[in-house]
Amino acid sequence: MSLFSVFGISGSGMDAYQTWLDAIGGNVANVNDSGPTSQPAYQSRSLIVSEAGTGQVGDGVKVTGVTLGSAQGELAWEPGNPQADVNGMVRHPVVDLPGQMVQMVMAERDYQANVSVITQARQAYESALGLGT
Amino acid sequence: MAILPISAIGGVTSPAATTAASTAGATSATGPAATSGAGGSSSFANFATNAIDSLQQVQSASDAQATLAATGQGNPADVMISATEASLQTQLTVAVRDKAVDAFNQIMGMQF
Repeated sequence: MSLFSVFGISGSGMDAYQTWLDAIGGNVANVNDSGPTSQPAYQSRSLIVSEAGTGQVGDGVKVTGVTLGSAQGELAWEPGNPQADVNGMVRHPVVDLPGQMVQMVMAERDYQANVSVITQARQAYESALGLGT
Repeated sequence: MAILPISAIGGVTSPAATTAASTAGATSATGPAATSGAGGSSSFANFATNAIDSLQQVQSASDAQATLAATGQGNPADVMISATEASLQTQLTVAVRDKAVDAFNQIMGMQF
């Protein structure tokens, strides 16, 4: 544990929330994918986040895994689509767009909260250093 | 008058203070001729050496992060975090150095 370990802890939180934002960005970007029914649909990504380390004070957070949504997707009748099968069906992913928007706000706010922790800690350390003068 | 006591403090913390002059940019922390009295084995010298070593590590980490970000591989947030950490560590080391020099000057100014 280093002297200013809060920077590492909150930095790991910022990394985790940035990864969450990346996952949300991928889901939103793929919301209108379409594919042939012979292939799985885009599976929406959601992260598994847990404590890093062994339960001591000063452990950060880390992304330990990714869970994938339904590969089944939903079938739509689009006979004009070049990917459509003989029945005119294509496969679309199931991405909960409003839910992704809410998660994006959460990830953004939590990222900012970690930044606030770092800012406050820096001010606290600086005022402690000011004791000597 | 300030040069003489600052150079004489090298007798107590010569390894640490030499490193300080080269890494932290602490100018004139050591004179050219450090006295060979106490050596580097006192506890304050160990403390100062450890502080300089950890300052060196933090600054190296900050440099590495800055290089990564400049080459497009790093994370800007990590750069700012490690730069803040390096800045605080430098301030802490310099504050302790100032305190030590201040204490030494007070002892040197003692009148009997």
